Amino acid sequence: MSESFNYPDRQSSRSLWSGFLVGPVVWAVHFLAVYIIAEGACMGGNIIFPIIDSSIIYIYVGIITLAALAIVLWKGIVSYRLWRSHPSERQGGQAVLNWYAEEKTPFMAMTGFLLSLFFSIVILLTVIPFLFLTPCGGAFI
Amino acid sequence: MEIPASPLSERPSSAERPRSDQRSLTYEEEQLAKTWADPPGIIGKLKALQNDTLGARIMITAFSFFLIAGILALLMRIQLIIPENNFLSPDRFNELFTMHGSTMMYLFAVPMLEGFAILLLPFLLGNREMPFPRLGVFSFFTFLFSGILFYASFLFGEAPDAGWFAYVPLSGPEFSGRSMDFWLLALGAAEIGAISAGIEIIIAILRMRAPGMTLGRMPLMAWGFLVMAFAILFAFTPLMVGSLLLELDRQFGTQFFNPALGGSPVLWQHLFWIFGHPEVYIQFIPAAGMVSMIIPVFSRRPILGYPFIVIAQVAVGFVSFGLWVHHMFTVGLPESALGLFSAASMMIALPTGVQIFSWLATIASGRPVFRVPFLFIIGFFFIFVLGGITGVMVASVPFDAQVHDTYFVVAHFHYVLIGGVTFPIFAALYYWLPKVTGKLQSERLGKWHFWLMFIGFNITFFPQHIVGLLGMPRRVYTFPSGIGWEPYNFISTVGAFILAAGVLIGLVNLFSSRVNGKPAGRNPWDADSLEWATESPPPDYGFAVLPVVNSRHPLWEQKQTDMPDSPARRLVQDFARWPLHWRAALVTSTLDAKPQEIFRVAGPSIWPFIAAVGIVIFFASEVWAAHTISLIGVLILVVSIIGWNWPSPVPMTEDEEQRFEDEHKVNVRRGSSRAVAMGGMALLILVLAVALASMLFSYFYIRLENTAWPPENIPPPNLIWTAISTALLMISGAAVYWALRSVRTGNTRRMQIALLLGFILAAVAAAVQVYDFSTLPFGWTHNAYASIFFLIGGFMVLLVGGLLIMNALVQYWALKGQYSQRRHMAVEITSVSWFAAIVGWIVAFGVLYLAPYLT
Repeated sequence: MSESFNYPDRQSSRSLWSGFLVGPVVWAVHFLAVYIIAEGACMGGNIIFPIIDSSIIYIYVGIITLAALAIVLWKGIVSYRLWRSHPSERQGGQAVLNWYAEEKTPFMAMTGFLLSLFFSIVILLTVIPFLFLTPCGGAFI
Repeated sequence: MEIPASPLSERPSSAERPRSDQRSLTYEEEQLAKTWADPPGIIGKLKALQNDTLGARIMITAFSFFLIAGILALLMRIQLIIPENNFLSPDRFNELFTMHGSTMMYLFAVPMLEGFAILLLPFLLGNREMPFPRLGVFSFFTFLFSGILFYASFLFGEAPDAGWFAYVPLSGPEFSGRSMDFWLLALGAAEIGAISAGIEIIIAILRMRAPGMTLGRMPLMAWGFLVMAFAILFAFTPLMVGSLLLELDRQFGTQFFNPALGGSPVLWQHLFWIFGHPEVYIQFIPAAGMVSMIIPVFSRRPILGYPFIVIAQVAVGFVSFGLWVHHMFTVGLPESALGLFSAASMMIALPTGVQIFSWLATIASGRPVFRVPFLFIIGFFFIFVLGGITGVMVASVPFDAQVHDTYFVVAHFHYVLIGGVTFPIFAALYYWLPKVTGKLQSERLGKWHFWLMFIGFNITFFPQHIVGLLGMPRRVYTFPSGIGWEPYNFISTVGAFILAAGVLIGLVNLFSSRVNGKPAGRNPWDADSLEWATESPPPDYGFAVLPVVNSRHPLWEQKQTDMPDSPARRLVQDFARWPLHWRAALVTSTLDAKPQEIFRVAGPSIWPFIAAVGIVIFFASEVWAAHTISLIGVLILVVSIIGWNWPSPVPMTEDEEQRFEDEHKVNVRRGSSRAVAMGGMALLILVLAVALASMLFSYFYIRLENTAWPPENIPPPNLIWTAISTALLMISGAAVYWALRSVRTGNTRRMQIALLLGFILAAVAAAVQVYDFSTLPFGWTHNAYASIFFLIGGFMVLLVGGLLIMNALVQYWALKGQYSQRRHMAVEITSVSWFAAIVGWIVAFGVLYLAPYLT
């Protein structure tokens, strides 16, 4: 069976899927972590997380953000290299017209790269408010 | 009337396009038609499971709810046409806006889009059927019955009246009668239907595409449906958990939302909006997929920026889950949290903008043909973009604080939802219905429909921006005269009737075209995607010869003469000739759509209908707190699920199976496909994992609301019994793994012994845990801590109960000789579920028993 249909190895599929999903998933985890830290430190009155004092939220948010960015950018670079290593995609998108065995890698690698790039920006932009706002302040509290 | 041909160079002629093998297949097609036909008679209609029948039923039902909810909106607009009007009482007005919003969100938009998906996906993807047709039947009847139950509330004078978001405490036991039980339980049943359809859609898209249709060649609407279906699983599940918590508070005296006993009303808002905001994108993303399909056809050129639209859809799907708190900006959350959600809310405009610019560029670089579907797309642009811009405005916390709960927000979300969802749905109805009915709709009536809707919509909702900025609040049944709101409300009401006239003309067009419409032919729009390669209406089996795809636009770019004589092509040609007497479909690999399995799609059965009856009996009887009757509903449900999955004989010998396998090197599965069954089970596990995560979120949120944990001097839980139950369950997992290993090596006798051992160990584990619950010094109504403790613990014990039923059935079928080294799918599925439940058990009881010591 494997000869007739030339099945891709699992490693290759896994690598393409992880390139595609790492950006959004890491963003989701980062977003939730930052929210929990903010909410936990401010609303819980440091009861649950005594080590998370509201005055040092910035440090935790900064560390988490750098870690998230490092993962997403690393995966983005891997996807970019994979994408550029396929000559068919560089030749004016001719991969689209080729027989199916050659097409999946450039598309998944390119979209993985673009998603990583986009979510790196989103991760950065979502924490910008922490640079300007008092973590536990608020006009409506 | 044919539209002008596309200017694409070197387009294949219609004879060259990959609609079917050129050799005669008359006998085979007759046999396939017999095999795939739904059974006759009334009972046959209850069993019918063809994707086009089911899809059409879901869409007709959803559209009926759309019309009903529209009438409710007109009644509200009549009330508001002049100040201090007495057309409706305040209570009736509350009921109408609750029913209108709830119907549009739960019973129209999502089911309508799921109906489209079920109707179109097999044709669009070049396969014969959806993967779980019986699940589709269950989904439809559950949706239909729950909608009827929801509207039955009017008959009992108990229509829900606390808004489509049902905020506590207004929807809680103190302030709301049986009306909110109707809301929670009827819509809870509808959500089960939606999740079921979501699972089916995901597997269809990932595993049942035509050979060669890689993810990079998949139609953009399929991408939209894929993102929608995943979002449904992640969004509807927290709502179901929230609804469960609220119903327990209302019927059984738990304290989840009671601040006096440690609960939190804000928890409801979180659980609701974790669903509520993605819900908007659950509707918009597939609608955008429809837009991406229609624009290139009427612009006469391929879409520009295909990969960018794909990543935009995926990005919107994810980011939509990071916006929920923007509905809660005025609740009183920390400033940093508001900033975080405000930034994410603005960020979602980026991928949405990418899609809009791709569409505009496609139109600008094409030669647009302004037929009715395209007019609705143009209307979509004008209206949705304006709604998107006001969306960015309300993402800003200070601005939102000013317009919160005013008509500005009403105008904003109607621009988003009617512009972004309803207009594309009408475009899609004009575009795809000729494929289903075989008849074209009238262009003249279609244009009247469009212009009346477009003008009427803007007259209705644009003034609401202004009156909102002037301070008119939402959900008020009347307003005083002399404060400058009269003209805006009067104009809005006039506009609403123009809008309704447009919809009415659309209905007339729909029905009259069935009689007077011109024949549509295979491809009236000269479109590019595979569904247009079939007859109009398509045969029940869809394609006799499955298409082999090597392009994003197969009907435009692909010539059969281009295609090499490949294993895939030989496979689809032989697949048209065998099997003819059982419902066979092809499974392909996820990334690159290479043929993997031929499997037997489930045939007509009465059990999914009975299961839907059972589930609705359960929910309906709970409205009246008739717990005994609801237990009967559960019993019906369990029995019907067993009957539904009962193995049935296959008209095929192992020799035939083996011959085909040897020749084409794909697995032939006379039972379910391994990939499809395991995929479905993985998604079910995902839904249960999201449910558990939502409960754990609730646990920690309630924890935040209490200074001591456990509160009220309750001692921390004793670890001994739960440690024993966990250890027993883990050993049972080892036994089940042993059973799996045994059957894989062909030792079915040892498998049976191992399964029995696993059963006994897990049953003892559950019993030990239940014993531990009985020794706790509090009941589940004691306070919020007790309520959440019993909820999570009870949920896990129930899951183990479900596993025990699965195990028992597998043992029964093993005694009947169903399993062998080659065929033992049920054992595999039981094992995977077992291992997942053990992980869930460890996490759940780890939190319940250790968190009090650690926090």
